[in-house]
Amino acid sequence: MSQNLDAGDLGRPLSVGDVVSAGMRIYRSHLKQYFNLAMRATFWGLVPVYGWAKSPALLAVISRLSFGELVNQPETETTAQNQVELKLWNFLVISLLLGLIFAGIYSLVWPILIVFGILGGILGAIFPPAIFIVALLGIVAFFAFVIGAIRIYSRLFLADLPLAIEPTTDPIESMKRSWNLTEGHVDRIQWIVLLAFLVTLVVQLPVQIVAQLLQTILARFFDPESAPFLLLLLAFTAPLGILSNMLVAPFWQTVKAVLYYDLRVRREGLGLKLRDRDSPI
Amino acid sequence: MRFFNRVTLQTPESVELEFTLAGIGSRAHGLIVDYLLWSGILLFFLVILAIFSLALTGVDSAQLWLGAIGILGFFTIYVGYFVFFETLWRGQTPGKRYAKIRVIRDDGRSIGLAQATLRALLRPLDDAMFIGAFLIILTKQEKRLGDWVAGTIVVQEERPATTTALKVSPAAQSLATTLLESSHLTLLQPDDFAVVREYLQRRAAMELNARAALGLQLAQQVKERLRLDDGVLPETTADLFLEAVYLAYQQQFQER
Repeated sequence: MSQNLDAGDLGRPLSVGDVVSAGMRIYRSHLKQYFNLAMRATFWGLVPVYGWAKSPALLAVISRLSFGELVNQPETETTAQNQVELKLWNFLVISLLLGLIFAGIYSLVWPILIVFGILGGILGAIFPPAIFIVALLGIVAFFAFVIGAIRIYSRLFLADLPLAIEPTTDPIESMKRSWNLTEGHVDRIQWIVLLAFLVTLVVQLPVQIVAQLLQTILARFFDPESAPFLLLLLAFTAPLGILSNMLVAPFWQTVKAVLYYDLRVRREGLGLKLRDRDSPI
Repeated sequence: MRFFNRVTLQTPESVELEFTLAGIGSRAHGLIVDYLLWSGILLFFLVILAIFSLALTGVDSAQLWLGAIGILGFFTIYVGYFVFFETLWRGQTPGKRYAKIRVIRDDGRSIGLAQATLRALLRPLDDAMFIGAFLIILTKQEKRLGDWVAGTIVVQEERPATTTALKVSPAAQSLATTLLESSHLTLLQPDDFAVVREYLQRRAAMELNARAALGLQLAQQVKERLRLDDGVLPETTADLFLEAVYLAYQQQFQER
């Protein structure tokens, strides 16, 4: 491959649309391989403890392989998987930490609501119009909370990638890298997540419609409240849902890999070096 | 592998032009912005209609007329928004402009009223069940139904070559003069120079530690290429040295 041809593509910052398109392009050209990895990840997810480490690690292999394509140093699946699985348990640690962080954020909702409720109650008893002011403040606080949560989510969006791609073996270090790389890019990440989500609807929406159709058809033959109806519905729709998730999961991993690559280009000048004079062009 | 689809077009004058196709991401990006604007305009129209409707309550035939006007207006805005902008802005809408993409004809010419109208009329069909998105993802030329019928493709806007003046420190100028006198800048190839310029342009957005390491590495590489001893330029930072190389290289080739 001539480097000249790709000089416009790579080594330069990408637009949000290009991040999503490139993610799709990489997935498309490795469809079977990545789908296979996602399938294994899904089934390992059913195995307690060991599977919960293996599953995110297998998904991270997809990101590692995609990144290899982006920097023009492709790896074989075996090599990538061996490298990633050296740190297998750290993927479980990252999953747990992310879970704890997000659970912590959501658990803040109730205390905030209660504080505003009590405040409104007390002030309202003294001076009734104060309720409106408290309600207004409550709405402002709610939006501030949502925006804050989105920011934290965006900053940790790439938490598993440094662990999969870089030499580091420390899960905390990997999350810090995600935090630092994404600094100042939350808006772009939000656009990318939105665009990628819209693209996944291409798969998810038909699945939803088929599931809805199945439900309607089954309802003609069985009582919708009965056990056979629910069991049959589950037997048909659950595999469909799992299948569509397996199709979509690699796409998120490739998009994350392109975003990681793009942020390293922007923030660290990845790929900026004088070309080796001796090598044939 | 290539990360973006490219097409080579043959113009009526038999000139070959190469374009990068817009890609599903940028097209979705443009569409979201367009649909936001478009629904804003539509909402405005409906509010006006509602005001008229309230003002004319009690007049039976007026409601019928307003209904007819409403349907006509909805259709005009739905189709008209895209036709209007794509014709007037030579293949761009506000959303496409934001996403830096453009519709062109299969032979590279800008689109006209006919193409814009065909694309707009087939839009509902493309939007239904994401048929358009499927076609864009799966076909080589990324054409949705409207593109097939109208004979158009959607490409990335050519990026203008960045020739904006770089900010360099005053100290770099005197160092550049020294460099011009004491070294052979011809040892530096144009693509080497391009890398130095790229670094200087983008360094402000970089993370500090990474930037320092990269600057040092590039300065080292340039020094090797210019066959400069470490002793020639003592006490200069990597960034200052690279700025000086940039200035000197530019001056040398401008004076010829």
